[in-house]
Amino acid sequence: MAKELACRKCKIIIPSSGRVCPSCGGTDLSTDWSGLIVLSNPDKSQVAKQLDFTKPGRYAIKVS
Amino acid sequence: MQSRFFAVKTTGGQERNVAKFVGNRLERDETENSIISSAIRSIVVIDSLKGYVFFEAPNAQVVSDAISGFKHVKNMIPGIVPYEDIEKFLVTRSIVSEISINDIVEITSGPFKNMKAKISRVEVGRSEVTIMLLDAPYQLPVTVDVNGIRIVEKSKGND
Repeated sequence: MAKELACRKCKIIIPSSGRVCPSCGGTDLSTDWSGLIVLSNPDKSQVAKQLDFTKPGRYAIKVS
Repeated sequence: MQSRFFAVKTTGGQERNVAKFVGNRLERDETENSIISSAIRSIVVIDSLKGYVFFEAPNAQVVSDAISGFKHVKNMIPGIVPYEDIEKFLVTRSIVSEISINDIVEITSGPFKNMKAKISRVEVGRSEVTIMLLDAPYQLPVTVDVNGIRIVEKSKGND
């Protein structure tokens, strides 16, 4: 299975077939990412505040 | 209510699947306005902590409800994980800004592991440095990632 892509700008994870980040519209995507955050309630999440994530979704912790 | 972090033990190598499955369940439940979906705030998988998934929620009961019935979930660890213990894995501070030319570093990964070297060039944008190996009998410039080195001695003055 092809590895999913992570946006280098906003760190959101998208399917491997994606070409454009649906969150920020960027095209700088990478298959080299690690860690995973599934964010369901960004308004109350301490992790989301720390990492500046504002939308629910799946994010990488580190994107190389 | 304040966020608390709970550790859940999973089958080794299945941490991401557990997070994805629980995430999908939360999404499904959200349409039904379930209490669990809004109570679980985030799920954190740290690659270096094998066999554990961390749940951010106001109490242990909602975590227990959210993970129930999953094949790869073993059990919930009693007690709360301090946020500081998770935070250090989330904020990856690069040492590239601290490195300057002529610093002596030790290589911590790759074929030159444990060798000492002197910094000859720093590429901040790419987080790479070019180093001269001190142990080599001739001048050998090598470009490596900053995460693969450790500062041993700072250069004396920047003049």
